[in-house]
Amino acid sequence: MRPLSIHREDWDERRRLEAQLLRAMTVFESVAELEALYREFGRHLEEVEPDLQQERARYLGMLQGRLARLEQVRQEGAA
Amino acid sequence: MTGLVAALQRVQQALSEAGIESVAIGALALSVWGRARATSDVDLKILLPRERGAYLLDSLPGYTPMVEEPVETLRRLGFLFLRGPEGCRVDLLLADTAYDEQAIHRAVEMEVLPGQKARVCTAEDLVIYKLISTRSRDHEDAETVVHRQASTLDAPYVEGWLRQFELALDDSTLVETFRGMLRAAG
Repeated sequence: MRPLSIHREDWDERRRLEAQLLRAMTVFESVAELEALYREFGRHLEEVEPDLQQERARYLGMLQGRLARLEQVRQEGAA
Repeated sequence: MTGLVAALQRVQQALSEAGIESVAIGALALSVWGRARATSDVDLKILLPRERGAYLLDSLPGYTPMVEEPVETLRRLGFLFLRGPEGCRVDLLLADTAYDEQAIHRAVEMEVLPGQKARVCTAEDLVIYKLISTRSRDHEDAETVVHRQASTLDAPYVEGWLRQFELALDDSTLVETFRGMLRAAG
């Protein structure tokens, strides 16, 4: 059995390599990757849309609520 | 199947003609600044008062609301799902806080595919939107942005807003999480 520290080093190395690859990508390349993912998975995601839409609504509600909370605190601070 | 960038351009053009400022957030902005992930929609923040939902819908005649009573939904929740003419779902979120307004004004228009331009939130604002979320996937997304943009990120700007969110949300981990990502990015 390998010591945990070696697994950790492997993981760190993998993250470093991924970061290097990301930095080497151009905007056109990464947006083209998004378009390819959309072509491959977009239709499937649309098929599960009723579930997806509920999840999206919960998510966006959470995000808007957290933004609104900061706004409220700022306004209370200014008053 | 029309592409996401084409769908984004179409809705941004219609919003612009109506005098409504908008900025792409979500998966498209993530693919510009970080790592792409699968999506079925385009997400935009729009600068519009809550009570102007009817004007918004009048400005987007080819777009079908995906909820009943869309004007009331937008007023109450601050967001709205639409189905675009090309079939793509468009999620519109009101930018009705000082932070959102700043994010919209800092947005950049850029060529995201050859010959195709879009107005996209900055890498810094995308990191902030992702880090204030409670969803772990958003933190993974933020990490890809920090890893890709590390040397160019305006860290004081990000930390300044995250400090305010820490106080407002009673969450003392945001700045340290961001700094940890910066350290990991080297």
